[in-house]
Amino acid sequence: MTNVYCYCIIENADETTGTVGTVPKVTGMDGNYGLYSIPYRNLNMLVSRVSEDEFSESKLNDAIEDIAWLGRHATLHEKIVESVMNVHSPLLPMKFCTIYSEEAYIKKLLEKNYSTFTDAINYLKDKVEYGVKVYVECSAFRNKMNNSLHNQFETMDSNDSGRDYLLKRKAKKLIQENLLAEISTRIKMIHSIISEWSTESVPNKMLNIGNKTSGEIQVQNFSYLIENEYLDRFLRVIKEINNRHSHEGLKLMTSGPWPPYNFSPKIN
Amino acid sequence: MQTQRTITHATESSTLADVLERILDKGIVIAGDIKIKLVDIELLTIQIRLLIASVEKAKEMGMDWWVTNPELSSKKDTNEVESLKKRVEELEILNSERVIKSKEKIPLI
Repeated sequence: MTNVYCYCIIENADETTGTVGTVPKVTGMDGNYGLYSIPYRNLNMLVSRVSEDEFSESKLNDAIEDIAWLGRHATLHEKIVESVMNVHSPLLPMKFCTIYSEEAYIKKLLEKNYSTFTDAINYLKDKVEYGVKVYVECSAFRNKMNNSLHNQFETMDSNDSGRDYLLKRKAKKLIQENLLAEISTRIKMIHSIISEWSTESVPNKMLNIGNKTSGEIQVQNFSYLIENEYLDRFLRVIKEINNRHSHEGLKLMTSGPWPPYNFSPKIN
Repeated sequence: MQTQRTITHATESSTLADVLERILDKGIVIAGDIKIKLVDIELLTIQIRLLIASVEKAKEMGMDWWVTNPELSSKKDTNEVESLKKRVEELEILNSERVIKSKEKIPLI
């Protein structure tokens, strides 16, 4: 027995025949079945069959507890959607593990939300999603900001009176507030500069995978929707910001183009 | 048709983070009752595990203050909260200084 796994929604690409056009010849999530289209008017849900042995409700809810399984299948889901994105743009990506037992439900879904989906596809034409994260290398930033303040402070005696202790605490607090304000000012400035070249932006969760040993901390994570014609400019501005701020331990990292996960419509 | 671009990431690990924060949380989410229901993978377990690692690192660097600071969580504008917090801290410091001053005066009375 199989279920139907949904990857993304695309418009017909072949105007003359009124059909979906090229569907990448890749296998789906369980490695046994290829991608195909379930059409409704000029929309298509790209799907593959998946075995119930692995992709049933009970099996899946156990499987996702396993980080290794999740990582492997998350990557696979993304790779499949990207292979579609290489030949069909724009597309509307589906959430991980959107699975139906019957094709008929998927047709109904397309029918019910037809205008929402077509409006979204029209809006996303000639636009791409990019992710930009800002990292701070803590010690570099601290050194850059407080060298003089910090040194002054170190000369204070450690056997301080109560008053000196409070003064010291006040100074420490001020230094931290100053640092926080400096970082905050910078990330706001960076966001406003790069937003100039994007149509829309969405904040993402900050997941600190990696960079554990480098002392870098993620302080900002946004997704931007950018018109193709501004993309080069967008990336160049980020490069310029990186050049300007690298000496104080600030670093911007970009990723993309992504399927427009952050700019797809919400369905109720 | 759009020109083909390949996705490039700095590290393999950041790729997975980028993928997870998108495909588990974003994209088109169907709330209907006919699809196979998946428990909400709130990223919570992953996130907590990874956040702990970063908090430790931050403490090591003497910079744990920012972790709990809403100003840096990029969700919404917290300027008001922040300025209020600052004001409270200023008042606390002022108050503690006044206490000391009054203590200093005690022997003179």
